[in-house]
Amino acid sequence: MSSILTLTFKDLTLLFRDKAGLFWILAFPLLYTGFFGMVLGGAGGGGGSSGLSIALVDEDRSSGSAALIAELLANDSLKIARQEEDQDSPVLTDMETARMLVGKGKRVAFVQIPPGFGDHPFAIFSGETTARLRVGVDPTRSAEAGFLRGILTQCAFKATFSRFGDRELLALEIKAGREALSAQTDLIGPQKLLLNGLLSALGTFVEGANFDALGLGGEGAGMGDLNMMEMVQVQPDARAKPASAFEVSLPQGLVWGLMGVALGFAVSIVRERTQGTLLRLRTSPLSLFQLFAGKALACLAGCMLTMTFLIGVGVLALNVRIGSPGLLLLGMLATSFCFTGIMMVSSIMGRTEQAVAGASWGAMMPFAMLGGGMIPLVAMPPWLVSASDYSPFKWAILALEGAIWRDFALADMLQPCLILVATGFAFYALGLLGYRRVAA
Amino acid sequence: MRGEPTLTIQGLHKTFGNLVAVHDLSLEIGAGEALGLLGPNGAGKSTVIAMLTGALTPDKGKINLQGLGSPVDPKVRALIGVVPQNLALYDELTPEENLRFFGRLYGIGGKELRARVDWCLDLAGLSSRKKERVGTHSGGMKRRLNLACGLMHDPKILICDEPTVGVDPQSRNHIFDSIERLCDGGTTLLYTTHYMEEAQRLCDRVAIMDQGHLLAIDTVDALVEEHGGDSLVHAKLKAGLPTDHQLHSAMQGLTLAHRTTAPIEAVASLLQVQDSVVELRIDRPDLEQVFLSLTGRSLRD
Repeated sequence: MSSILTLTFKDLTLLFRDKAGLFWILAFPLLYTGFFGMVLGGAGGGGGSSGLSIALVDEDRSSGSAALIAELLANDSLKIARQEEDQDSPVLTDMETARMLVGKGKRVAFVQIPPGFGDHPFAIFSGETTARLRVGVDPTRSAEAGFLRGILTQCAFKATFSRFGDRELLALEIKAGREALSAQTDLIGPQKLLLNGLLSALGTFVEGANFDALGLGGEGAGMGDLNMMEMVQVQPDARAKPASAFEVSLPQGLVWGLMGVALGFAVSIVRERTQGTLLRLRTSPLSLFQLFAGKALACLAGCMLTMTFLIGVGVLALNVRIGSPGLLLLGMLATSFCFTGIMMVSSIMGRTEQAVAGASWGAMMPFAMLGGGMIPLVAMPPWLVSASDYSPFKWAILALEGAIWRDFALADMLQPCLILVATGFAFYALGLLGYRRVAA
Repeated sequence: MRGEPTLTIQGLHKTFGNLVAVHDLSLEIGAGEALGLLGPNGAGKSTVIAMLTGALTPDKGKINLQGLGSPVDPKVRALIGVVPQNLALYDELTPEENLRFFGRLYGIGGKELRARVDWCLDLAGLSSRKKERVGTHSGGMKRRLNLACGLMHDPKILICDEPTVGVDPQSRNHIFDSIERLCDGGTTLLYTTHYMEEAQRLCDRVAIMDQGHLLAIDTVDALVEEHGGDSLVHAKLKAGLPTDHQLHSAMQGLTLAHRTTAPIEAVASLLQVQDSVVELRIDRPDLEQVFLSLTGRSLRD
């Protein structure tokens, strides 16, 4: 064991004395974390969207709901999207999904257009309460609830005003009013006559009026918050959201640092072979197992030290909060194990340092990009998210995020951690087998 | 061979694809003996060394070191010190750190480690620069440290694979002196080179290899006597030799070039009849001649 530790200490010394290598292992991941954290919104909140992300549920499917949806979609302050797996229409049809999205923190709020909403196009003026919009806001984003109410009111008024220019709709409403008036028993005859006359005059006005000249259907005036929506409670999912965008960008930065460590050790194996130190090591009393166990332990320790440093900087300088230090340690170990395997398999990708460095970067880059190393998983299109399952980087990021901000339980951590450990084992074995071929 | 064999090689054979790198090699090296393995590039010397150190597995044949078995066994490998042809050093470490690292791999620690490090630094002449990274050292210094790293664990047999390649004369002499000190101290030496001068200076016996085959093995004098051929007597004269002189036929103008097994007698006969010798030289055959005689090619071809 002491021989393995001797090898490990030597390799770590070499790793941290390589100034150019240190840039890629420590400085670049920090730059990445800082830059993308700022781009994604800095410490002001995760999510990475300039607009409020909401889920919209249309249970009415009328021309009235369509007018409101059109206004909401056109509003720059809102970002409306369905679940990632279905992009045909931005509008949902079931409340369960909408509640789930808000509960998991994937949307700030849901807006439900209830059945019958379109039957009462001017209900916002009448105090009608049977078909009000139902709005559920993520309780952790309550500060944005008022802003959302204002946007919804504005859009509802715009939709309603646009319908003032609909001659047929107004005629139908006047007709319905006259029918309701005739059925009314509380009013006396002169009152009914007077109101009938008013509706007839209104009907004549609607038939001959120039709505464009009146400006109806254009921009609505600022309206107060009328009794047009009902706020409903949303139970947040047990899983949390990142407190800042740095909590999203830090795990990404970490995997870039780990790539640097893995690549550094992969190149060092080739360098030992080409410079002759491997021959000296192999002629020592060390077995091949001890030799590569030393390399693996060094890589594992290098990964752990690198992550510890980067997370430390993240906590101290970027205000990153660690959800569960214990689970973070588990995630770091599993991730380090995986990258140790990646190191081993990278070392057999060529016979020279240049070949290994080039081939390893070439092979790792697509996996890194696919696995969320470049584009956050939450910002990926559905097909890319599905494809990312095949990238160990995705599981590494998930394991780290799980412990940092996703509030994973131990059971939640098991899947990514087991995948990482299994991948590490497979790659390590593949690397050892390949070593015999390359070294021959 | 002198003493009991430290290393015994029997029928060693190694091929790489269609290339026969080493063909049926058998030899013994006695305790404290210095054996040179002489041959041109591609002769199979480094392959032999790789097999002797356990880095390569022979296709056929046996290696036995001090009666303990083959170098596949880590305990047997611990008896061997290796000085590879490449500079097997870590440039980012200091000489002291390099030596400590290699020493620890052999289980050396504490005071013994410090003492061995100091001894090796002294041997390499690097005590004053032991704290500077190896990457800042000259090629000669690195070569000396390369030798010292192979001696950290005080090996029973030292295997040097062309340890003076690309070395300046000063460092080369330093390395020779160091190896001679080791040999005088009883260390067994296997030394590969394609410089015959090195083999002649350092080795008790020389094995000549070419294209994987062992062509001859003996002392330098014996090899020269058996395979070196005639000496060459060179002379420049003021006047020609009499026509009845035994060397007359070797004259070209006023220059004599005469091959003979008895050069002293030839010179004596020349001086008897000719007192106007301007220049006289006897070229005795050397290992280069031996190699030429055995292979029809020069060592440096």
